[in-house]
Amino acid sequence: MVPVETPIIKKKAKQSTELDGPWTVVVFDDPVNLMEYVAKVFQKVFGYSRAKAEELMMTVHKAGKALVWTGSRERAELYVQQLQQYQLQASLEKSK
Amino acid sequence: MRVMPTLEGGLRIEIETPTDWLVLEQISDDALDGGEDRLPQRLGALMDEQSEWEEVVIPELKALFNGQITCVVEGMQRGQAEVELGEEAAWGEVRIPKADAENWYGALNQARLALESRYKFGPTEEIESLDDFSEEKRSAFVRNQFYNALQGVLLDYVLE
Repeated sequence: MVPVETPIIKKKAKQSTELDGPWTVVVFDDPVNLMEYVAKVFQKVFGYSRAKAEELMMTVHKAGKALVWTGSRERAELYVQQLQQYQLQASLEKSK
Repeated sequence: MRVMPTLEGGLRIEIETPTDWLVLEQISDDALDGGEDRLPQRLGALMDEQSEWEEVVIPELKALFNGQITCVVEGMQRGQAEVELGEEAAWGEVRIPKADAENWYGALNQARLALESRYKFGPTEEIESLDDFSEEKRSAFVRNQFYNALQGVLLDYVLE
């Protein structure tokens, strides 16, 4: 009945599929941010326990990056924004 | 200068020589090295095109980071004004109330990120000698270490 709108719906569906989760929040190592601070930020942003936050911080330090959270794109973007407010180098990766 | 915790949960930086003021004034100069857009743009470059970082997040980061620097500058101006009014003994002091601690930490971090970006010090534990550094780089490294130490005190005594 409304054929004109069909392509638009398809386009939206495609975009939605591209953005659909899960997405992973990645934090990269840098020589500036103090290790203790990075762990504190993980606790604040994600509500992780001190032990989990320190474990992730050590992964960032030793491996150069750590996958710190996985879930919807929208939520992951919010977390990246918060991490960047603390000046951590954070980004998103689509989970495999 | 001497740095000590206050009973109110903040920090007090006691200025011992006029040079101390110059050192503290370098925080904002170093933080703004490369321009106020440098750090937000660098962080934003980590995101893909589908995110709305350029339009939404980068301006917010810029405002936040500028606010941190403004907080530090105003804190020092308050301390300097008290010296000029003769209300403080000797060379004066800078107070970092607990409420301003995150801003100070952030401004110090901006300064260290900018110094690292310019001079590429790398991990401090891997630096064996400063002999190979130019005078300018050595001076920057000393400032970097001072900012690092001040961040450490903020972490240990003020930030939760």
